[in-house]
Amino acid sequence: MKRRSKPARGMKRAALKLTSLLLFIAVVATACGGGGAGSSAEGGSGSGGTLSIAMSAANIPFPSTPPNQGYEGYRFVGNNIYDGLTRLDLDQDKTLPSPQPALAESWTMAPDLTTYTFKLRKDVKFHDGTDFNADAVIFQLDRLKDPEFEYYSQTDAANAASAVRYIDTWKKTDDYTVVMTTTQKYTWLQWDMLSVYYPSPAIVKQYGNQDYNQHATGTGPFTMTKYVDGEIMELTRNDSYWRGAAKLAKIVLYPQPEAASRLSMLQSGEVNWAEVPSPDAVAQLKTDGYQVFLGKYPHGIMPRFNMFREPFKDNLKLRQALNYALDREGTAALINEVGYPAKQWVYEGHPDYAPDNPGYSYDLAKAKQLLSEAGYGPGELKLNFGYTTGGSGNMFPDVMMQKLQADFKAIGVEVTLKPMEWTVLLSIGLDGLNSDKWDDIDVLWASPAAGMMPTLYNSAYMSKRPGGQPNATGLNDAKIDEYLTKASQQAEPADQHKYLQRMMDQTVDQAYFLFWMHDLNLRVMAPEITGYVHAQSWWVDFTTISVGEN
Amino acid sequence: MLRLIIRRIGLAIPTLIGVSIIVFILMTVVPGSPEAGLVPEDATPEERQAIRDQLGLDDPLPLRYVDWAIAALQGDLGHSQQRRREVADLLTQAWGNTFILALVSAAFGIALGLLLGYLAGTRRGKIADRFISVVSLGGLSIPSFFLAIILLGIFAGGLKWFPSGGASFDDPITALRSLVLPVLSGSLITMAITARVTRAGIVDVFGADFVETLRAKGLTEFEVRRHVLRNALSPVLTTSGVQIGALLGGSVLVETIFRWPGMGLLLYNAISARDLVVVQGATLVIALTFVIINLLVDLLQAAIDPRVRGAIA
Amino acid sequence: MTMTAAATQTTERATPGQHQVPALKVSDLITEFRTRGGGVRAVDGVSFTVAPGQILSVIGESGSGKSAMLRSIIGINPPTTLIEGKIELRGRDLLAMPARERRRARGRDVSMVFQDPLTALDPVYTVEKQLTETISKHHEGISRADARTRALDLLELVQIPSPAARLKAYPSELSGGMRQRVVIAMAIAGRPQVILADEPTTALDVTVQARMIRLFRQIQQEVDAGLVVVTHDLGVAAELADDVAVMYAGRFVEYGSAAQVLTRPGHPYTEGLIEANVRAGQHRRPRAIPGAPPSLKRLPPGCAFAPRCSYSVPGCWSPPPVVDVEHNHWSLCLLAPGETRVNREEM
Repeated sequence: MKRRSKPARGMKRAALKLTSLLLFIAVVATACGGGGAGSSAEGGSGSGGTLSIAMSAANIPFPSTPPNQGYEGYRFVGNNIYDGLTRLDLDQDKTLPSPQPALAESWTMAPDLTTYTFKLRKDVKFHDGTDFNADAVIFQLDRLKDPEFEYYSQTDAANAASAVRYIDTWKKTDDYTVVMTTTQKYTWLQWDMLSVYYPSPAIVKQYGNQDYNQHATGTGPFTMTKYVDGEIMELTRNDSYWRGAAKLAKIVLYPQPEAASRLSMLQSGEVNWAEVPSPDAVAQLKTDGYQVFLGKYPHGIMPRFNMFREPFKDNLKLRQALNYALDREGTAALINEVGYPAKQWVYEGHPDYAPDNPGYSYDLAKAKQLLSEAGYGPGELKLNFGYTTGGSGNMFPDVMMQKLQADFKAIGVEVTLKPMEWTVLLSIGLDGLNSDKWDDIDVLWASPAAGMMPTLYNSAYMSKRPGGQPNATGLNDAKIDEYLTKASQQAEPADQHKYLQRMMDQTVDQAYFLFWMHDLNLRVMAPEITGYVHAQSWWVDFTTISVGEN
Repeated sequence: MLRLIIRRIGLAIPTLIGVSIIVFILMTVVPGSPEAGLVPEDATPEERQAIRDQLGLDDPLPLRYVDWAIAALQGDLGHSQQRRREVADLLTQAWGNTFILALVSAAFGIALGLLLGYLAGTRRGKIADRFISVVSLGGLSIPSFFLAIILLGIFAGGLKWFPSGGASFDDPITALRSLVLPVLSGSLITMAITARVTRAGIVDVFGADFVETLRAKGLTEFEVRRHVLRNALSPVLTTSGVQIGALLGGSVLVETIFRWPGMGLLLYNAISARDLVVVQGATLVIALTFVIINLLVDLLQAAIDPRVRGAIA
Repeated sequence: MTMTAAATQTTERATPGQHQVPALKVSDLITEFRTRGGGVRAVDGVSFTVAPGQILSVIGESGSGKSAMLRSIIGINPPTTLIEGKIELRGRDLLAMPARERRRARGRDVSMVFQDPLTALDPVYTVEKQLTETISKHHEGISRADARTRALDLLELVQIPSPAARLKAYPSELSGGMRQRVVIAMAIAGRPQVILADEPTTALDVTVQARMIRLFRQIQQEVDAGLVVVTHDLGVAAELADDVAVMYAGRFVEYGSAAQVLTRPGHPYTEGLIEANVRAGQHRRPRAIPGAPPSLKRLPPGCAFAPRCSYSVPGCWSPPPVVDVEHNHWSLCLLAPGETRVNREEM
């Protein structure tokens, strides 16, 4: 990797580092200011109140189909303005949410496992009053899959590529029936359909793809009533929502990548929901009466080994040694227990978690022994570790990486930290570590939404990438490929999980990742918020929430 | 005067071209692909290539630059795929926000800096001077984001006197309230630099021979100081120009912390996303701003200092 | 003999002129700068008088206290400076006045012309502004137009060509000689009784110097003020001065008429100065006085010049007596004429 230096980034990093220190001051100041907890957010009038959210994104996600800004975009914008044919049951926190009927009231899969028939709801209207029907579904699939289509959107198509990759043909058989076939035996189309959103064809035709964002119109529980790129988005309740009107009158979204600023917004009452607060602030926030939510959900930090070359290629013992060297409890303590030690790629309790595989404990003796068996004496192994300093959903890279560096040093492995921008990490994911631009990297940071959808295992982490490209870090295991393919071709979810568990078993046995941390999805809210469900997901059901005493 | 303006604009053109070429080259050599944020992480080479083609990323570099430059000359700064908006549109919004913040910050910082610098310079070695020196040194060494976060914690999160961010101009009261904290944090450095330069200038001028003449003429100390201040203004004006230029370029950190979507944030995000057209456009606007500010500073300087008049005409 | 005695003699002898009351009478002036290392006596008990219309030239090397003396008289030394003695302007003691009154006297009763005309004017104000400022300061209630007319008169008086145009000019737009004329115009704007001039010609080139000396004489006669000119240029002193005082290490070491002092020096130091100031056309090469003026912080006992003096005798290490060389001409030297001069080398 070439040396990069950009002062702005360095400063930014320094700024974020200092943030946690400053939070202390901020929190003390709040205590002096007195009684921040009781105040209600602005404009809390009307039934259900107004929910104001400080997002951790740097910008308001585009209200396009699909939105950008990753899952934060789906969470706050996509799922509120739009519906998919299916939706996750986010109104419970007991199990991993799975696809439920949404715009499709039911679907069937033919025994050949390639033909899906979606029966659409008949009572659904877009926010502009036009009907949702099979034409609207075809319109959007054309828009994402047919470059010849008049309203084909290259940007949306690129962004949605993963979700429509296995669709081969799509056609309407009547006004409320759509039939899709897949390119291969594939039983996860209902997962893919979660994130294919349907905009009003009338609006797309009226404003064109270019100006659509300013006029975004879907079928979802909220309509977009104000949108200033970079500043604010206001979503207002859709009273004729097909699932029944949401309780909230309004949702207001602010982008704020700076944790300290989000905290101030919460304390000053400008918002009543703050994403990813600094862990240091949590204790004080609790004392002040804020609601603090923590819970298992599919998100982890699982760095990947460069398997294209030495030292990790064909050296299981080395990969195991490093896994044994990780003081996961220590890392968790450093981040105030807003994460917990990972045993596998998915968390314990996840349906794909491999039973009876204890994973790797913190065992220095074993680590040292394995390291030596792997052919490296103390001080003989030097690793370049590429990690990102920004991007939401990466937990606390600086603190965690320093800990990892110390952990590895304890067994005589020297780690050189290679901080990089989020964009660079994404680029590496596309280029692959076998690209000569990046081939000096030995270990690469990864923060997957591990296990949120089975379709995500495929993408870039476990197996070859679509189109037969090698996996980005060179992971190439016939067993994994087999289990993953088989899992995607089982009609019964139970069978799918069985194969996926075997896959997990294999990744742990082979120590293909540094199984490090699971995130606990820390989220803070003002006390007046009720009805929020902390689901095992990146997404949230906003229809159940209300603000103020209702 | 007019000749000076025309000549300056003439000089600005190669500057702007040079800056845009350098930025263009830098943006194309930094690692990280512009399309990385536009495609999913498991994109196929074909999907990736389609976007690259749309962005024209694989065209020869000189061609890409010339295409951009010709369009820019015709007033078309292009369309940002990443932001899905016209670059001109993005720049207008961001520059407007930054302009208001920069103007108020500059006015506040320079006025306060002048006052402090004057007080320190005229009370050289006394307690007031030492105190002001400490304050201005602090201003230079405390990063503005540090101050911003402290101010935010105390006055927004704690006391709730001011909003914790957002550029809101719906009504004057809200606008003023939303300006207070960003202005305080953004003007700190300007204040500190102005104070130091003013103090140094005043101390320097106090050592000049003509001050004895003024005293020997029987002027009161106050009248003497008026002469001194006017003489000390020239370097202050120069640094103020640089400060205003820097403020108009936008501060990433202050803008991030206070949710003030200005030039700094636009540029930072564009650089992060490798959004070349926005970076190019923003650089152009910032460079142009500097050219104009420098011109204004020179004109002002000529107005207050006859020695400069000869030098720049 | 003490300086007090010397002073008494000075006042007695150095008062020619027609006026009863001297324009300036300085008695036992002591100027001490406060520094970290203690006090530094720049002026150490100087006394003299200047009658209206009289020109006194004070000569000496740099560092002898000449400038400090002038600054003490007009009152622009740093505020921490200790000044003792009496500075009487037509009988009124400046040092006894309240600060405000003293400031008013500045520029009006006593004014000063500085060494370097290039830096003596405020560069960012026009000549008019700087002149009218002085005029208004000392003529309360004068209208702007009147002040301007007066400024114009002053420029004419100092013989500046096309004065109306010069009024609009900034100092940087004027030549050195022209600027010095403006400085002089400013110095006489308040019709002072005493004008102090600190090396007024040093910064000018030779041809301008001569014209400036003529102008000084002319102006000074016109306003009938006493003039104290500090210079290290003996030529200037010879051409300009009625009386000459020689200053060394904060004291006057010789005093007399210009002719007496410059042609028949009564002090080895004066002699040294004359040797060092040989004019072009003479066949001797100038000979500098060996050594450097003593540090004012640590003066030698006795005659301060003794360590550099080629005539010095052991008696020089005691305080020197005042010796009347001739009428109205004294020297602060043990070996002044009348006594046998003994060269140290010959001893």
